[in-house]
Amino acid sequence: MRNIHRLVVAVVFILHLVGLSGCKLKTAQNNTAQHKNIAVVISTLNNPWFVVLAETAAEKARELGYRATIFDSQNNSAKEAEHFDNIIAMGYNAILFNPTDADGSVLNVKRAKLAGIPTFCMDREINSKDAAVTQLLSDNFTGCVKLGQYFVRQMNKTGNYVEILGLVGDNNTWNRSNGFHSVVDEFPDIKMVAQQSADFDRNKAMEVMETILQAKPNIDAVFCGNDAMAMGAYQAILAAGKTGKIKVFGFDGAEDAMQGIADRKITATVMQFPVLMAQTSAIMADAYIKGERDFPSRTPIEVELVTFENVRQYLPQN
Amino acid sequence: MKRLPKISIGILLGLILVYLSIDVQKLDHYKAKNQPKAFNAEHYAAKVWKEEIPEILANAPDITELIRNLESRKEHTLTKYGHKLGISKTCYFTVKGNARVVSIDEENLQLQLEDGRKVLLATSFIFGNAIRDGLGVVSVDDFLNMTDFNNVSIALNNRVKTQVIPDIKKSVKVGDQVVFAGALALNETTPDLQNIRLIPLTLSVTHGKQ
Repeated sequence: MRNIHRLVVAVVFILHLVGLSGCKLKTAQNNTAQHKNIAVVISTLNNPWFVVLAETAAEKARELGYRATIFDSQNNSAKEAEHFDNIIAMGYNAILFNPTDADGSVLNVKRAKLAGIPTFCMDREINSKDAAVTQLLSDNFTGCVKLGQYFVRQMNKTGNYVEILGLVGDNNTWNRSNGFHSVVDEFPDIKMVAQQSADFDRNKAMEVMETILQAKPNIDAVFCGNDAMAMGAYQAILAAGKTGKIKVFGFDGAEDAMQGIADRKITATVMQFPVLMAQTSAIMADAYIKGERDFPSRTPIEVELVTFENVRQYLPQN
Repeated sequence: MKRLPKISIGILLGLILVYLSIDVQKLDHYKAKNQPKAFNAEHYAAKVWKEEIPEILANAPDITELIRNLESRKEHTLTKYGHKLGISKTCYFTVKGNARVVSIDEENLQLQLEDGRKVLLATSFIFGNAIRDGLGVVSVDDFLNMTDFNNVSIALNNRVKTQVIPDIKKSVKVGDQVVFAGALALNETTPDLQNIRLIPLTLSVTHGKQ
């Protein structure tokens, strides 16, 4: 009787173990299939352009079967570091990253790498060849070489202009500026009379342009590092009653700037493709998680010059 | 009292040891010493110019042959001779050829190729990445950032402006027969073969106008 009792206990115990291991197996399978997380860390959600970048990346990650969470760094590198602390602690599987600072953000990416979390930079670059798995970047320099050539022709190779820069710690700011200057500086009769940063911010650009217009009345053009600043500069020009006299050039391909070109308020911009960039980043992260390891350190994405002559094809209704 | 000299010597030796084991430097100097050397695009471009370009041009396709192949077997020709950067519709090529100069203006020479087609050869507005990317040997993966990579384009274009263009402007006349090599960009979806504009890498007059 005692032996039968022992046997029953043993069988129940074994069945219990099998049941438990079965549960564990099932949980592990669930983790593989459903519980992978991708973090989308964005420099700022104050600019609609970055909202598109963030939401598209998250949407594509979800479409590929991941949980995606968007983190807003508010253009603050301390905030960005906090996000990385949390992402590393929570064991995310990949980071789609739009950095706040080309140098300052490298450490965050390296910390993630050390924790085994791959990072894929989007749109903004970090100064490292190997910290991120890859960096998908608009070819800002080439875009501004195209814009610079159009600018020179629009100015008939002569005149005074203002440059409003983006964030000075961001490589995009300098790649755009360098591309533009690599062309325009060759024409000695085109003179830059003021250069100031407005941090890619529309309101700041408006204030900067207002101040410059008071100090320098003879301005023929303004080149802005993004469309938000171009729209801000245009508002200042409008308030000063100088529309039509000062040509405004931007960069990004934002919807209001496109409409501005169609309405002859903005002279030209350069169209970037944030949707393509964000989707490709998510696809690359998915490939990495599934075992792919062969990625170029950078993937530049071509940009296109938009002027009054070709704006129709870029307007949202078309 | 007798132990005093020994103690003094001991303290002195200790101080010397501490002094020798510490290296005090100004933070700025230390940082500067440990910074990776700044990339010099002019040196890089000079090396490419001297060591890479001659061989690339020796193996470059003839421009008339390239155009003919682009018309008949576009995809194959793009893959065989073209170079692309990242996700892009622009394809860059390095080519060579023979032609006759049919006109000269402020920005270009107009050349008539051996098969009668006409192309432009730039003598002004030398910008962009046609040379850097057309050569096919400058990889973005070799650079710390896009700024350094882009500076290579500027440096290569500057060499064209300072070492190639002045000779062209000085020596070439309408009617001259020339041998040339250069780089060009084409849209891979709809290559505009009627409006090709080359950035020159070499040009020499073989038969001057009589």
